[in-house]
Amino acid sequence: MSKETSRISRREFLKIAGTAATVSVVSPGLLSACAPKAEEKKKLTVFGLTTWSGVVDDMLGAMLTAWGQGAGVEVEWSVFQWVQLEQELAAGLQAKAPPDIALLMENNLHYYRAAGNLLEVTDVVDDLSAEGGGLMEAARAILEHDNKVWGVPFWNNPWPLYARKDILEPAGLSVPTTWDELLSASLAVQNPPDLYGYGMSLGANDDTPYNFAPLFWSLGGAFLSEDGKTSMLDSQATVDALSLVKKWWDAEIVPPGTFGWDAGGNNKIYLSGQAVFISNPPSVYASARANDPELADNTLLAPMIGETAVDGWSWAVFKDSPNVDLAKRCLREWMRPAAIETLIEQGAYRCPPYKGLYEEEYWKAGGVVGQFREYLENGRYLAYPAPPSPAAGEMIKAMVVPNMVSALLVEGKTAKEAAAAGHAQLQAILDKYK
Amino acid sequence: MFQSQRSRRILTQILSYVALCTFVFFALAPFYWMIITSFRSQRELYRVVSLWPKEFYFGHWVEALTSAGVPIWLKNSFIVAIATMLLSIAVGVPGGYAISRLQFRGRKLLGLSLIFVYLVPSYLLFIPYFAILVKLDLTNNLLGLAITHLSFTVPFCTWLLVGYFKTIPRELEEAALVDGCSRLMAVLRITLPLAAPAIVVTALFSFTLSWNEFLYSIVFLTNRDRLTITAGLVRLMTEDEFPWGLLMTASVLSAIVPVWLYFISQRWVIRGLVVGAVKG
Repeated sequence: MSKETSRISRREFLKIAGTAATVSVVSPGLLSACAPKAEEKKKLTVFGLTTWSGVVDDMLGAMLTAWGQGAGVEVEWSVFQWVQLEQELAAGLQAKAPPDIALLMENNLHYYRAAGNLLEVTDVVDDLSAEGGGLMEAARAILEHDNKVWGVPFWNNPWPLYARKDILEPAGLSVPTTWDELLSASLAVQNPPDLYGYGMSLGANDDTPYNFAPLFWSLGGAFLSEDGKTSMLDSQATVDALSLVKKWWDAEIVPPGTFGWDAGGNNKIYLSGQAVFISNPPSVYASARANDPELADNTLLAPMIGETAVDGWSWAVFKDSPNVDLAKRCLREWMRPAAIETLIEQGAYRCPPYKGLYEEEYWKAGGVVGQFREYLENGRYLAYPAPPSPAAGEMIKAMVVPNMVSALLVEGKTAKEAAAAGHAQLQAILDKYK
Repeated sequence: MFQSQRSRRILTQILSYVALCTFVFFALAPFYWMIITSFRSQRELYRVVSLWPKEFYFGHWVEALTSAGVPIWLKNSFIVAIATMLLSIAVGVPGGYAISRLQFRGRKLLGLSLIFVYLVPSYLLFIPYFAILVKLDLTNNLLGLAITHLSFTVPFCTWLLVGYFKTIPRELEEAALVDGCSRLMAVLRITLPLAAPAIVVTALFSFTLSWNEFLYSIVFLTNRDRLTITAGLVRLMTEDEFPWGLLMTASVLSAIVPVWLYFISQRWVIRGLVVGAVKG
């Protein structure tokens, strides 16, 4: 190889470059450390969840910003889709930098509570409850553990029965109140593959346990024992519920594509006019109201046959927040019952958690929201009669109910065998939390 | 015999075109469906299955370009992707050259470690990265996001360029050195121009990798006005309701930039791929 003749050798070039790089990286830090620091305004980070109404999301953020301006607090408001929020919280908690406040669904509330990440907020909830005329029992039960409240209530989602009145009324039928009526009405009006009776979700998604639960409860079943430590799936009620699902499947009132659905599958089949009945939160009604008013006008919402499932959203304060007192103050002043009422009346179609709010004109006017109080008064959360727990949340995520149904209808097992498999899977989850 | 050779040639051509048309169809059909869906109303999406909209609806485009925030997200994606591309080239080119040409202790280990780093899934890295960004106050920061993207673009670019630099004869540089050039001048005047196709390819790949990146974007950016297009698309979904028309419109808009970039640089891409940019 030829000898290099250069004005600057490689070694010298690297020395100069390294020195320049070090100076350029270090000097801004040094300069900022020496500069006098401006007085820092207190900052609160709040994470929300996307609702099915952009108007409500924006209004919630505007209310929070207005509170921040009044309180002299800089507020950072971010809205996430649920899966995204889980990842955001995982990263934040590991980095010891979670948000100050986050909006959580009930099973996730208890997941973070059990992991020791949350602050008890009983005092805040008691104050707001007094202002709102008391909390609905189911709304409080969803938030409680060991007689302490871990989330400031926001609203509750009912899972009513949707029914197409424009299909039922010409056939002389009314909204079914028993499972036999559901079956006979479906058989009378359906026309597969264009129209199915009951768009029941049976696939590997979060809707399936909420579609299965009312049927299961009405037959005397429960997922968990009262203390939440034992699976109750090894019961005759489970076998009966699975047998009824099989009867509907064999009668072809449930669309065959249900096993491939995600959580929006039953939404799609109803919005495309291919199902007479579904069970889902009012997101489908809200979407129809916005995009297909004719369908919305022809939709009846009724209490689910048996028991109506409900779930709850609440605001949680993270222990690692450097501003826990400010966070509690924010929730006390921002999440007042009147504010929740204002938001719901924008077309959120949720159940307010406070009893006093049902005296407002909006709820008394009837119509689609006329039975929302009944949904929450008589509603059950999924873990009932056990207290809400991270195990119940894992039951949903681990697809215990979809696996059971799949064993029955896809793998061809008997109802007893499918129930036994479900029981084993659920008990294994519960044993992890012992 | 001549007739049968000619028939065989014609048959081969026909079969080739059939295969090509099939591939083109499967490649373009999703784009067609995406574009058509963006012009259907939400009601028609659920009610009508057809290859052409019953009625053209422009509401999704109006919403995407005005209130939904899509233009800001596209701008942010562009900034991050450009920054990532430039930084990747700035690190990858000298790194690739050093590993392929220079002799120093740990050269082989460095080359292997690039591959190992590239193979670590982003799901294992997003939490430690987040912790670092929090400490540096770089969350909700486009530069912070671009820096994290370097974790997969730099190994990729360096690895590609190592292979390409090896195909360039050393003798060309040595001739320049003999004629009095410094090493740096030889690289700048001879090696880099010859490596231009590979550099363009790696620049485009790093741009595309950064443009399409999802996990880091949704975790490290929370402020709506700082989101990239991939993170922004997720924000358009609400619980169990998907605004398909709006999502498809935003997807069409997000596909325009990379498609346009590859279109204008296709000559370089083909040269870079064919001449040996992807050789290991």
